[in-house]
Amino acid sequence: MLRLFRSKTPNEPRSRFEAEALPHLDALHAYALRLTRDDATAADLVQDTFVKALRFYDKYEEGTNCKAWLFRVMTNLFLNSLRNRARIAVLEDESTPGVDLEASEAVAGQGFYRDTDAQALDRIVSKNVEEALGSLSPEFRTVLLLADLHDMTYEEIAEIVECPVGTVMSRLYRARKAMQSRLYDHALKEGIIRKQVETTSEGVPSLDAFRRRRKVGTGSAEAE
Amino acid sequence: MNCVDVRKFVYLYLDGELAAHDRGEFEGHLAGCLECRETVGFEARFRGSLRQALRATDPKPDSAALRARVEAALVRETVGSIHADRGASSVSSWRWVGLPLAAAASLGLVVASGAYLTSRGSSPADIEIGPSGSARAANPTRSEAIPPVATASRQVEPAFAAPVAASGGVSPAAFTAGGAPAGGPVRASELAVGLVRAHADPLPAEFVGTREEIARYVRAKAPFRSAPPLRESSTIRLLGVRLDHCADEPVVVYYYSVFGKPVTAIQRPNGEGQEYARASRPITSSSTLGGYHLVHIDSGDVTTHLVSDLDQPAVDGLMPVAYVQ
Repeated sequence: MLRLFRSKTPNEPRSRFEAEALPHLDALHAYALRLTRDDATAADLVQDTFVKALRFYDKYEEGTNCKAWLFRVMTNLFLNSLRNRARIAVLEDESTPGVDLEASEAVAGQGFYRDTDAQALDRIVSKNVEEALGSLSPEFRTVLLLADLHDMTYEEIAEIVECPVGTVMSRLYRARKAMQSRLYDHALKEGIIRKQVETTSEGVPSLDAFRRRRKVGTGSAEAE
Repeated sequence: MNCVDVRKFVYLYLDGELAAHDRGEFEGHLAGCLECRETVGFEARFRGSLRQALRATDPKPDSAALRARVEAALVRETVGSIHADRGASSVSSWRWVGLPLAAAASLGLVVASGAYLTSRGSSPADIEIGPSGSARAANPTRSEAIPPVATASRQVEPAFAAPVAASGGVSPAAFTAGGAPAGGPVRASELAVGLVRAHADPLPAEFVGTREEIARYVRAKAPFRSAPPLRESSTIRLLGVRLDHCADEPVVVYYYSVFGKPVTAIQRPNGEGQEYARASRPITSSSTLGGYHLVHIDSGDVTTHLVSDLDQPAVDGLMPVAYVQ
């Protein structure tokens, strides 16, 4: 059967490309579904990714991480198409100071931490992860998926989304905190957990606890 | 490192992104700070839950249809880039042969083919194949762009090369140089070039689906009896179908992927004039044109032409296994 692949034809680069890239189609399809949250848009994105990747195949170094390269092409297409169509939901938000948001997210994390045991946490996360993920901005969703689903390092993610490693750290931090915040809200709403207000020995809300939460918020702001 | 730093770097720590020195300081602080230990413990649990949930809910889409679509798009993209470099290589220059295309026919442009051909700079009748097997054009300015046409490398049925022009029908033999009168040029038929173009410059499939759906579609739409010609397997997949015209004849164009490479099967009806005696069917012959390998299978009512990038021995070896008789 080796003979089949010996022929030197105008389609040979495509054949090599297909042999290397097409095995990743399922992973890219799943990733596209997560990014776009729509079957038809995901299929379009996958097709455009492969066509664009083939077009720039000469830029790809054979033997390097083809999957990461394809993810990079797809991520860029996805984020650029959103930007081009000016359809990005108001990001939470890289253009606005993140202190307040992060404080509230960090507080949610603290609430989660305080009010939830390990079993409840698993249950809450598995039940609501899709919805919480969908509520994230595309930029945050992208880094979260690359890190927590596809096990990529910060450096790999930085290459894929074409931004500095520091931005990846910041986005990932905020994406996880935002997930905690959304999941905590879900859990409260569904009565899985009950909000406990830290009180002093006199039974009034604790200023110390409030200050601790603010401290957490400020700390996370510095992470930006 | 203090409590604020721990909260700041907790994800770097959990993601294994802290440098060894920082990691040591981080863990040193944790050893003496219960609150930070609890915080990091929670974040680790949360991270674990999240990763587990993401994996459990990751879509497992059925990508078969999408794969076919992507493969077809890649073929189109390749052809597009070949065209961008036209004239740059002998392999891509077959396009200059400029015979009426399936594209033109399908777009209702058959009547306008004169203008179309003019734009391509060469008409079908201009193409001649010399006795040596090399091709040249009557229009000398295009001669360098005409690809070599090889003689048929194998003919299962010697009678196949017999001149059949008298029958009035278009025969596969009409484009094999083996049928050329000794010492004189033979014209490359419109059909031969049309077949290669249908493969190398494919128009989109007008229908995609399972083999059964495609067969049903063809039964309902094709003006002659046609069915997908190759038996599918894990390595041979039918991608889609298109009803078209080639050299003014209705054809059914099946797009296949064989070992990941595109193979186009073009079926056309055998004319009444081809009812000449043959001992058995199918009768197979093969040829090359412009670097593309063609196999022609006459199975009675229809002739199937297989065009592919595969090399000839591979095609010859594959087709008896794959062909649905």
